Amino acid sequence: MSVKKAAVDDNVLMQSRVSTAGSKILGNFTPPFNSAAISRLAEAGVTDIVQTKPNEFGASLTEGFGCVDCVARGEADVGIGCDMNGSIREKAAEAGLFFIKPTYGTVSRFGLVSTAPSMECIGIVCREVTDGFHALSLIAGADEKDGTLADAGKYCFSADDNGLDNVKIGVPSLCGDEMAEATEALTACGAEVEAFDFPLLGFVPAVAYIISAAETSNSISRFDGVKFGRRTEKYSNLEDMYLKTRTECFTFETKLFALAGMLVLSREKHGDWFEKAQKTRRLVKDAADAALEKYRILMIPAGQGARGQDGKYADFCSSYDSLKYKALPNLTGCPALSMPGGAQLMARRFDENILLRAGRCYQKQLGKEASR
Amino acid sequence: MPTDANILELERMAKLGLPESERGEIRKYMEFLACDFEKLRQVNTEGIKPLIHGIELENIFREDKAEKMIGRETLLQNAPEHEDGCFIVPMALE
Repeated sequence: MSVKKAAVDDNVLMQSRVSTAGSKILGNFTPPFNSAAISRLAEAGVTDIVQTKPNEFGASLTEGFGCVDCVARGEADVGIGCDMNGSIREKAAEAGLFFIKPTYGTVSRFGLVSTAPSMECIGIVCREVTDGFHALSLIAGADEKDGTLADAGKYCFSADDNGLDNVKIGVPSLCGDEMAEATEALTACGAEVEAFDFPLLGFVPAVAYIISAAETSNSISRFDGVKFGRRTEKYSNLEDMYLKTRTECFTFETKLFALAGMLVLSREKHGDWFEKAQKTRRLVKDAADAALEKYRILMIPAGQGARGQDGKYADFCSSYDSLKYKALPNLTGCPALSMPGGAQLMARRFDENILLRAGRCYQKQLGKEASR
Repeated sequence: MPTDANILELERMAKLGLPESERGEIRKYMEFLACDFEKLRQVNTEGIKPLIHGIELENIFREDKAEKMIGRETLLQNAPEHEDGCFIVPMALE
């Protein structure tokens, strides 16, 4: 298969095309250069690109992503978007699609409107998992413009059709039965699925939110109405101009992120919250690595499952709680694959090929069940 | 728990000016977050080094060579106001 048409969220910049990152503040921003991902697509001959809009900076826990919607409507072969905290993986799974989050440092972030640089990765949304990994091969690889890239040359993701015999999959015992369908399908492919304890998972939402809020509040300080983007129309002085520009343009969730970030970085809270979160992040990573020594794959829910009609605040709280699953790959740098049906798989760093193999098995199994 | 005074101070630092109704809403969310952040006290992190990235990369340096950069005029095209190669901002000093 070759990727002919791609939907790209416009926080991945395209030269000479208005690229808003889903924010009013960049409503008129026209980048003078291409992001590395767009350049790579062009080099591979993929020039039919639809620009889509993410939620503001792709940082919202609750709002959607245009690239996911576009692929779900069948208007593009694959979509490209930024995975900051796993919300895009969740949205893809809800839309019956796959989302591939590669190992941190696999795809250049040059030209990405960055929010939480230690957590975010550019990834692929797709209907066919093989197409998605093919597209990932096109955009992954060394780039001297991104100093956080792993020095691993060019990637080519591939997998055989040998099923999942002898592949052990660990499921944290905290998870409920929301992944029964995936467990059944992967077991039918030969995998051995068993539960294990991961007591630190309950602390992942706090760690992920503290770190991403701190990084985001720092990253969005560049939006000041001076160098690029929108500026408020009426203001009395420089301070007033900053304040009105940012207040008028940012969404509620971005403002919350900015304020929470300021709070966790304040002198009063830096040690108790920010530094504590960074230390807990190391413990979480070590625990995930230990589990991935025992199991080739960890299986966790892609998100919170079906939402009720409880309103914005309840939706936020529920999305926050599900960070315990969604943000685990972002905190650890591990690759992950969310799948239709609501499960996601996470593997060792740079072991994307096992995710491709498992994803293909899962997709075949779903096809068999659908044809019954 | 964050008070309205705390939030006003955070707004000042974040260069935001929330209307009263939004400040009350933000406070509700902040209380929820603060309550969960406090739970981190239960984790024993004694002797643990903070982790900055999932992958602990060394700095990667590129060769120090001259490259053609984007010109000043091109960069200024995205500025809300500019003149004679400079950004225009309101007067900052009396």
